[in-house]
Amino acid sequence: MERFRILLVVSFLVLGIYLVGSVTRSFSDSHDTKESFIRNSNGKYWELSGENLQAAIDDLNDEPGGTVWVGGNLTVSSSIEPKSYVMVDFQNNLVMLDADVPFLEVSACRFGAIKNVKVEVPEDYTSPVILLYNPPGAVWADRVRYMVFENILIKNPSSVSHEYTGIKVDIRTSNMAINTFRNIQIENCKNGLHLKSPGPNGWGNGFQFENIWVDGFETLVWFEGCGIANKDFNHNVFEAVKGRASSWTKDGFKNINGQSNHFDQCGVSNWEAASSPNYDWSISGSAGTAYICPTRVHSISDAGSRTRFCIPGLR
Amino acid sequence: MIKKNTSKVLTVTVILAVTLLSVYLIGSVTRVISASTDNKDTLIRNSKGNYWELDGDNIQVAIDDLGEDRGTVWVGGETTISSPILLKNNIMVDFQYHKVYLDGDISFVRAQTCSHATVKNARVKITDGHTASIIHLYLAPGAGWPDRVRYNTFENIYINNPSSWIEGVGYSKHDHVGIHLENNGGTNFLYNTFKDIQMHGVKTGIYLEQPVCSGWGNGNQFENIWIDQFETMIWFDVAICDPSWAGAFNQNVFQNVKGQSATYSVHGVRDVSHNGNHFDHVLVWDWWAPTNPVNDWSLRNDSSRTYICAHYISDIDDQGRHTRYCDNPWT
Repeated sequence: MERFRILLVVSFLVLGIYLVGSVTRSFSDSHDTKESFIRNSNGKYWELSGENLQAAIDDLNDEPGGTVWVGGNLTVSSSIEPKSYVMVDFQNNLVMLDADVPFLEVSACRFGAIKNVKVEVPEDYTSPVILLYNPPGAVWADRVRYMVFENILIKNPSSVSHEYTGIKVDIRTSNMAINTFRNIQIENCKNGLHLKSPGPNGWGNGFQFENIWVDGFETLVWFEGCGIANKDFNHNVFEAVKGRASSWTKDGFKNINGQSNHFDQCGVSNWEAASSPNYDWSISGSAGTAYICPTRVHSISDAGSRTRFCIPGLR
Repeated sequence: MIKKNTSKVLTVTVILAVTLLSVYLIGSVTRVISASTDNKDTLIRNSKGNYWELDGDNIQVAIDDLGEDRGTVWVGGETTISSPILLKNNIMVDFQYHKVYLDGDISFVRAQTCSHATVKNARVKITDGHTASIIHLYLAPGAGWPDRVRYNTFENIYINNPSSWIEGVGYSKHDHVGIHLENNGGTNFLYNTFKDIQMHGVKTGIYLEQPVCSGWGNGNQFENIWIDQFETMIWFDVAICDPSWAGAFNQNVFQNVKGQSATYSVHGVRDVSHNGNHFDHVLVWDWWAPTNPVNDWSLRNDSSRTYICAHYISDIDDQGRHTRYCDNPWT
């Protein structure tokens, strides 16, 4: 009887220690904790998928706002739409695109952020990875503003396909203002940045492009404008926007338009690698008081008015 | 007999204790991991592993709980605070993009005798009639070398009054200050960083105040700041002292600081004083908008070696010495 009692006590002790051990494992093992899920600051959790990422964002949209954390690598086959007052922290995880769609489609939102993500584009990808746009009929309140995109690496493993755009800002109508892109690397693309304002009905002002590195491009930064004063892109800052030219490179900073855009510590290296280049710097006739403080200039076409250079004698 | 009963009681007690402990711990884990709304992410918590209910006053409790250990406080939802958050050395408070309502005419955060603290990712909501400075760095008279306010970071903070937007008009003017460095004669503010901050309808966007000829505020960084409609965008409100005095605000950097003028705007960058302040990609936007403007830029005669790289300048009063422009097509 006494032995049975001791056995019983020991059994319960072993069971207890095992269960307590399980508890410890639940918190410390990296494979089954909440940190490996998609979770948001509403306290909710989802399995790792692109659809669930959108669900976690939408769960916070505007009200109450908050943060989404992505706890592992994802495959995305339809675009993620950021929302107002929501930050998505990918925590340096990898997003693999398996369709020719933008990774991010950003419209009608403000004061949100996308941070710390590596994006891998598929073979023959042609879309912009990050697309900011105003939909038809967008009004003042819909403009994309105060958004932050930070610590983003866009990887293109293909050695032959480079038809995509890293960041495209497509105004279309109304305006966008005061958005920040910081610490972004883009590999082997057609356009690093494409700033498009094709009609007279909109403008993009006060953007900050800071510490952008484009390694292999056809055009590093392309202003595709309408050529109307005070439309197009004005008073934007490009700080340490740099590119390394490749054999297919044609243009660096192409067709700069608008008023008083600032380029500080910007430039193209390895220009001699381009087989049939145009200009590393070209300024359109509709540009006024552009300020250019380049790291280097190889060839420049300046049709703008009162372009200002920090290097004496450059012009 | 008594011994036998005692042994039985002891055995049962041990079994019960172990069973209860196991059930309790499993229950805790289940609650934390699987419950969708009742978990630590929606609370106020700190890096010591402690948790508090989502009551704004508990933010201060969570900060104070860190003591001198340094660490982080996470705010897991919308809060209302009734007194300013007093920052402490080496702590970070991450609001995770949640709203913070100010209950009363109070500052959002106050840094006094504080170094290496960070506040980030907050949406600060104020109401009509607010006059207190939202981010307030303060040096008391006679504050000594150990009391200086330095290396603090304020990042990703959105300050607004939800009722201030008037469609077709803009943001109505309020009487609050966005960022306020107030030196009443303490030693110094040094290397504080303000980054990615937006504010609307302010009396003064960035207010550098020093009413006495003692102390200084050097090397502070104001980066990527959007002041959307203001009475004064940036103001160096510094006592006029003996020209040989090297105090006040020197070698501060304003980088990509932009302000949108309103009808009620009076000054843009006002009364820049002292040595080597650096304005890079700074813009006072649409200076045609104010009905009673003074200057979009003004530099006092005790300023020297100010560097200005503006997008454009409409009306500058430059009495400074050796002011340097990246280019100067306007004057």
